[in-house]
Amino acid sequence: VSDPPAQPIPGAPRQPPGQVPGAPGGEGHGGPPGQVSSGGHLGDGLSALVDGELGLPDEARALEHLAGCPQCAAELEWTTRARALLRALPLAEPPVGYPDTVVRRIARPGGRRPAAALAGVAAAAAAVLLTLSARSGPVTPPVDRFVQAHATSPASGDPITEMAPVAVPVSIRR
Amino acid sequence: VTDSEELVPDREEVARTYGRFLYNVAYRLTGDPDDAQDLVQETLLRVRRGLETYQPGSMEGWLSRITTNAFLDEVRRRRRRPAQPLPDAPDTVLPPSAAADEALAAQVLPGDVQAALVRLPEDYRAAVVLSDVVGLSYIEIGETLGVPLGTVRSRIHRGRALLREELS
Repeated sequence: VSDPPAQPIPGAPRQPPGQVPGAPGGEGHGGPPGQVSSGGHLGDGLSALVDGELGLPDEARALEHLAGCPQCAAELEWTTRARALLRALPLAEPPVGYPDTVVRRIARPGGRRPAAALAGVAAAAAAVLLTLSARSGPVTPPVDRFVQAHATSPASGDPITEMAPVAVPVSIRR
Repeated sequence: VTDSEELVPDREEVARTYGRFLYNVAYRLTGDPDDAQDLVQETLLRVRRGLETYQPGSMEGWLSRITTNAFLDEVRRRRRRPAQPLPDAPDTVLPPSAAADEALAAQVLPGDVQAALVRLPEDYRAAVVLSDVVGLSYIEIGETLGVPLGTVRSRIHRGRALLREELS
């Protein structure tokens, strides 16, 4: 898996002028993981540095660069703080009843997300009822639409929920 | 999918022993208690299916790998289109921002950090959670996400940079 060519993310920090395009340290998936830029700024090497993920030679070079580069020193400062804030997050408190609720749900036969599946059934049934009461006389079900909808729905999707929106024109020949 | 009962591990035991851990990872990724429980549920279902792939090592690492992939699968399923990989834009050096640094220096509540976390693009969020919440190494994160080390590095750093932006 690799990522497409760089495109700006909305809201993401822009590359400031003065940074050498294609400077090392900016590689998303290019250069060797341990590589630190020899000429440019440290970039994502700073996170690798504070995470202890730079090899020793690179670490030495990074520290040397930091000593003479206020810009990278400032970036190191906030990188360290953001990391510390994340690592200080407490263990999230689960809702009352957890994990019993989850254990019970996975114990159901065939059972995942019963609530969602039932909602789908209810919506489809309501749609059928609506159509039945609104129309009279024989109507041919648009089977091709169902077939197409079925064929185009993702395999991982819940088929019942997927069908609900297209179930509106359903009617039944009496 | 047919259940073959012989392969079913004691999911309930996993749920009870690692329940708090699983919920924490799921909540940090989703930011919502209901979504987090759904994610734990999906993870436990996958635990059964993936038991053969379990290699002795950190159970937490293995479980967080399953959780993260279940999360990213769900994100992609909801988008209803193939994975939209994030651009790994060249790394940026942010201009010094006094406001941002003050904000980070000030008392930041865990709720604020969590709120900022869920505003990160999911792929960055996953990398940052695996690194700073679970504590996996870059190599383990790369294996989990199926990306090279350089991408792991970039996503973690950009995730932290965006988090800092969100908190400022």
